[in-house]
Amino acid sequence: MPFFRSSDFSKHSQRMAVKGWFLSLSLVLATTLAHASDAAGRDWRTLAAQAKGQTVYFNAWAGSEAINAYIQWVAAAVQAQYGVTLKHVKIADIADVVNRVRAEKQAGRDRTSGTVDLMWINGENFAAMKRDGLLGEPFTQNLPNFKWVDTVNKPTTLIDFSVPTDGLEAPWGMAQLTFFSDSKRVPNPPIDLETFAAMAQQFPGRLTYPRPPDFHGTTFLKQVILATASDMAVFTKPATDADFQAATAPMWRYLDKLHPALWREGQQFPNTASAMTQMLADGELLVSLTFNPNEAANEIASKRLPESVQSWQFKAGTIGNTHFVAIPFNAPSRAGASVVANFLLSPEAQARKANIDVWGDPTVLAVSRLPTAQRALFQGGVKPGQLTQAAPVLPEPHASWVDKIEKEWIRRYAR
Amino acid sequence: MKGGAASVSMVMPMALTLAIGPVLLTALWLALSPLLANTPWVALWQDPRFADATLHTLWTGTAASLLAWVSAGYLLRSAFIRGQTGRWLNRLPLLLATPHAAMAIAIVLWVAPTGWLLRFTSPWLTGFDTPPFWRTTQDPLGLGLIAALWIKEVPFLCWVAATQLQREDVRRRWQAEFAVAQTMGLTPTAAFNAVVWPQLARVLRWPFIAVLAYGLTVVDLALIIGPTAPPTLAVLAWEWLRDADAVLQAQGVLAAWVLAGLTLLVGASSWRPIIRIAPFGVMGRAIGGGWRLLFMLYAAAWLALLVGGFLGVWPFPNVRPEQWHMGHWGRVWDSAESLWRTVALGLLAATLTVAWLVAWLEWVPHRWQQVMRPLLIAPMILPPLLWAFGLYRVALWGHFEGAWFGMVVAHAIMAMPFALLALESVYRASDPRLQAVTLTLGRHPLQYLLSVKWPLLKRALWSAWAIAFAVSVAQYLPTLYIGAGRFVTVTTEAVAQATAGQRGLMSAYAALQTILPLMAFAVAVMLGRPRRFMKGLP
Amino acid sequence: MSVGLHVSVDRLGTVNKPLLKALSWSVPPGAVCTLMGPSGVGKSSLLGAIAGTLSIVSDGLTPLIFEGSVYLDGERLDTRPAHERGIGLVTQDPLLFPHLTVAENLAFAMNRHTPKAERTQQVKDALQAANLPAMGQADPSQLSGGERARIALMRALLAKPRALLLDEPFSKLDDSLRQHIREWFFRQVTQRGIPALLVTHDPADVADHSRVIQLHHA
Repeated sequence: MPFFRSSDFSKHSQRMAVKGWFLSLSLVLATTLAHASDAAGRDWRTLAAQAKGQTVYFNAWAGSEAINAYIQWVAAAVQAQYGVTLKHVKIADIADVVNRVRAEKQAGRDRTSGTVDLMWINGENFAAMKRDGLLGEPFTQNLPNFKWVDTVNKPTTLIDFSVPTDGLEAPWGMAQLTFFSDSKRVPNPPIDLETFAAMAQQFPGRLTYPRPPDFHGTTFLKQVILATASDMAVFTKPATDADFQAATAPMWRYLDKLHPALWREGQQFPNTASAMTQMLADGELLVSLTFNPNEAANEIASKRLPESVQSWQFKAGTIGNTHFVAIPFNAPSRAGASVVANFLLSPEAQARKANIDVWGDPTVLAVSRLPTAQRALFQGGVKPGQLTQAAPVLPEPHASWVDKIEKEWIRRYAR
Repeated sequence: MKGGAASVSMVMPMALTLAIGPVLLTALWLALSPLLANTPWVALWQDPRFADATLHTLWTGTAASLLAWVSAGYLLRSAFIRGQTGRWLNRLPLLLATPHAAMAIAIVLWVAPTGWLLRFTSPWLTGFDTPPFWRTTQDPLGLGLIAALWIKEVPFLCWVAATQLQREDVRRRWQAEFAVAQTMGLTPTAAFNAVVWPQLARVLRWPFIAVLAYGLTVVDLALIIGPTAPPTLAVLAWEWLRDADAVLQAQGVLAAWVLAGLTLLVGASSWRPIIRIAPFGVMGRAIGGGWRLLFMLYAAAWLALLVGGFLGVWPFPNVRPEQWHMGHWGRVWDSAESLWRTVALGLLAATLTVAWLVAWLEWVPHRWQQVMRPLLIAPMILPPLLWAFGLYRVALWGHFEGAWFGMVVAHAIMAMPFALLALESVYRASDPRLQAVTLTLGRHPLQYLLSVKWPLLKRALWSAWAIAFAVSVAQYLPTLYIGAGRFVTVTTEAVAQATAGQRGLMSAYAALQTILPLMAFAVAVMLGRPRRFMKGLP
Repeated sequence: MSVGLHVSVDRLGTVNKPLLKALSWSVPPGAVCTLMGPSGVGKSSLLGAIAGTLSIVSDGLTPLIFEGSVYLDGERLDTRPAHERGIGLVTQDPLLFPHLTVAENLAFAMNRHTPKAERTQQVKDALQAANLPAMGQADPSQLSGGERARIALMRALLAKPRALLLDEPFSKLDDSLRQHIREWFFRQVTQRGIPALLVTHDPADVADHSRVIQLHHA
C-alpha cells in the first residue's frame, strides 16, 4: 500500500496513490457486497430448501369469495414453485388468532409448537402482538422481493398505525376507505362529512356504517375523528385521557346529530361491511363502504352488484393503510411461511391481486421501479365501478386510539 | 354378568369414568380460574351493557322455552288423541336434523325487510317500493330469536316424548288409562291433561331444562338473528372472550359463569311448576292438530335455504332475482374439504359417543350411573362457551388442539347428553328376563348382548347415533376453539357467512348443514327398522 | 352323590328378610317334581336360584341371596355362572325373541358349531313335535298362547339341558288346552330322561303325586 509523504512524491505520484487507494477500496467493497448478496442468496436458497415440503397454515379473513379464491391460487403457485403446501385457515376475526397465539404462549407452547404459521394482520392487532412479544424475529430482510416494495411513496408499508414494523410483518396490499353507491339512485355522491350528514337527513334510514368494533366501522369513526378534530398531531402519539376527551368531542357531537337519520335510527348497526353491501344490492341502503378501492368493481365483475355502481372517496382524503402478513413466534413452518410471504410480494402475485377481475387489492410495490416485463403485468383498462378520482391518503392514528374510541362508542351507542 | 354381586368387575366402570371424568372436570376447573380475581367482577358489574344483556337473555330464553313446552304439549296431545302418534312422531327426525343456525338463516331469509315475505306482498299489498324500515331481523325485542328457538325446540321435546311413546308397553298403558278416564266422563282433552300429560311431562322435564339451557346460552343463533343493542349475555360474553385485552377475557369467562348460574337458577325454580303447565287451547281440525303447520314451517325454511343458494343480484321488490348465480354452490364445492371433514368428524364422534354410552349403560352399576349423571349432562346444561374455553385449555395442555383426536373427543362430549336422553330410558327398560332365558339356553352373556339385547334396541341405538351426529355437525364454538382454526366445518362456514351478511353463500352452507344430519337420520331410520316378517305361512 | 337333581336350601331371601329356609329334596332323571305354595313364598325365586338367574330378575329391588347347594349328576352347579349350568328354564311368559322368526328362535338354542344341515333338521323335528310344522317363518307374535308355550318348551329342550325348570308354564292357557299341553310337556320331559321341577298354583298340574313339595314362608 503506497503511503503519502508530501515532501517525497511529485503530484503525479500523489494522484496515482489516490487512484490506487480508490481502486482497492472499491475492490474491497465490491467483494464484500458480492459476498453479502451471495450470502443472502445462499440464505434464501437455504430458506427455500428448508421450506420445501412444509405445510403453512395461513390464518386469513375469509369474508370474501374473491379473496378466498385468490388464496387458493397462491396455494397452487407455491406448491408448484416451492413445494410448500399452503392451507387457508378461514377466520372471521383476526383477534381470534391473536388470542390463540397468546393462549399458546401462556400454555408454554413456544419455539415451533404453535398452530399458526402466517397471519393476515394490521393495525391494533399488530401493535398488541408486537407489544406482547408474540411475533418472534424480524424476517422481512430475508425476503428477496422486499426490495420492490415502495417504502418511499407508501410510508405505511413500514409504519403500521404509527407503530414501526421493524421487519416483523411483510406488507401485502394497500387499503383506503372508499364508498360506493348506485349512480342511478345517488347521482351526486357526498364527498365530505357535511354532505354525508345532509344526505342522511334527506334520505332517512338509508345510510349507516358497520357496528364497531368491526374494523370497517372503526375506520369510519377514525375518518370522522380525523375530519372533525382540530389538532392532528395528537394522533401520531399514544392516546392519553386528556387528549382523547378533547380530540373526540367534535366526533361525538357529529354522531349524535347523525344517528337519528341513519338506518334503524342508529339504534342498530349492520354487523359488517359485506352485510351493508348486500343491503345496497337489495336496495335497503344507498351507500356501502370498503377498504379496497376496487371492491365495487370486483363485485360488479362477479355479478353481485349492478354495473351502475360507482366508487368514490371524500375529497379531502380518506384513511388508508397497508395490510400485512406476519409470522408468530411459535410458527412450526417458519421457513415455509417466509417463502409464502416472499411469493406474495412477487410482481406476479401482486399484479394478479391488483387485477379487478380477481380481487382488485392495490399493490404495495413500486411499479415504476420494476423491470419492463413485470411492469406490464400491472396494466389494465378501466373497469366499471372502479375508483376514478383517488383522494389523498390520511394516515391512521396511533394504534392505542382505536381501543379507546371503540369502548367509548359502545358506551354511548350500544345500550 | 350384570348386577350388584361381588363378582362385578370394576375395570369397565373405572375405565369409562376415567375416559371422560377428568377431561370434564379439568375443563371446568380451568374455566374457573378467572373467577378468583377481583377486578373482572367489578368490571362486569360496571359494564353498561351487562344489565340489559342479562335481561334480554332471560326474556328470550324463558319465553322461547315456555312457548316450546306448551306447543309440544299441544302437538303431543293432538297426536295422542287422534291415534296418530306413529304417523307424526316417526317423521320427527326430518325436523330434528335442521341445525339451529340453518333455521335462523332461513327465518332471516323470510322475514328480513328484503326477505321473501315482504317481496311476495310488495308492492301490491304493502305499497312498498323500497325495503321498509321494519326491524324484523335482529329486532330489539328478540322476537326473531324467540321464534327461531321456539321452532327448533318443539321437535326436540316431541322427539324425547316419542322415545317413550314408541315403547309398546308404555303406550298401551297410557291408552288404557286414557280410555278409562274418558269413561268417567272427561272429554278427550281433559282426559289427556289429567291422566297422560302428568306422566309424559315427567319424562320431558330434563329435556325442558336442556331447552332452557340452550335458549339462555346460545351464541351462534343469537349472532344471526338475536338483538344487537345490547346483544344477549351469551354473545356479549363471546365478544369479550375474543378480545385481546386480558381483563375483558376474564370478564367474558365470568359472564359465562353468570349464564351457568342463571340456567341453574331458572331451571331449579321451574322444575316443579313446569309439569303443571298443561297444553291448553282448542284443537283445530283444519291444521291437523298443529303438526301440519309445523311441517309446513320447516318446509318453507328448507325452500328458502335451497333457493337462497342460487340468488344473484336481487333488488327489492322483485320476487325473482335479476340474475341467478351458480357461483355460490361452486364456492361451497371448492371447500369440499370442510364437507368431508364435517362428515368424518360427525361419524367418528357419533360412534364414539354411542359406544361409550352403551358400555356405560350396560356395565356400570346403577348407583355409579346416578352419581355421575350430572357430570354427563353438564355439557348440555352449562354454557357452550365455558366448555369451549375449558376444553381448549385442556387441549392446549395435552397438545391435541387442532388434532382429530381432540376434535372427536370434544364433539363426543358435547353430543353425549343428547344421546343419553335418547337412549337411557329405552335401554334400561329392556326386559331382563330375556337375559335369563338366554343364559339358561346355554349362551354366554356377551352373546345375549350381541344377538338379543342390542338387536332389539336397534332403533333406539341408531336414533341416538343420528342425534349425536346431528349435534356434532351443529357444533360451532368447540370447533372454533379446539380446532385452533384448523378445522373448518360446514357450520363454522355457515355462521361466518351469515355474520358477514353474504346471503347466497350463507344459504348454500346452511342448506348443506341441513342435508348432512338429514342423511344421518335417514340412515338411522333405515337401519333401525324393526324386522318385517313374512306373513304366516311361507 | 347319585344321578339326578339335588337341591339343598339353607336360606333364600334378602339380607334382612328370609323367604325360605332349611329345605332340600332330590329329583331323579325323567321325573317331574312339583313345587307348590302360596303366592309370594318364593317359588319363582327358588327356580331362579337353581338356574343361576337370580341376580338378573331381582330387577333393582334389594338383591336376593341364595345360600345352599345345587348338585346335578354329582356335579356342583351353584358355584357356576348360569350359562354353564346346563339347566333350562321355561317361564310363564314364553319370552320368545320378538326379533327372530319361530325357526330362528328354536335354532338359537343350539350349539353354534353344529353344522347347518343338522340344525335345520333339528328345527324341523322340533316344529313337528310341537305340531306346528308350517310356522317356521312366522313372527312369534302371530302365534297363540298355547303355540308359544310349545315353542318355548321346544327351544329350551333343543339346548339339551340336563335338567329342566318350569315356572307356571300353563297358567296362561285356556282350560280346554291345558290338559292337552300339560300331557305333551310331561311326555317330552320323560322321553329325554331329565329331572324336571314344576312350579304351579293349580293342583291339577301335578304329574306325579308322590313328588310334591309344599313350600311355606320362613
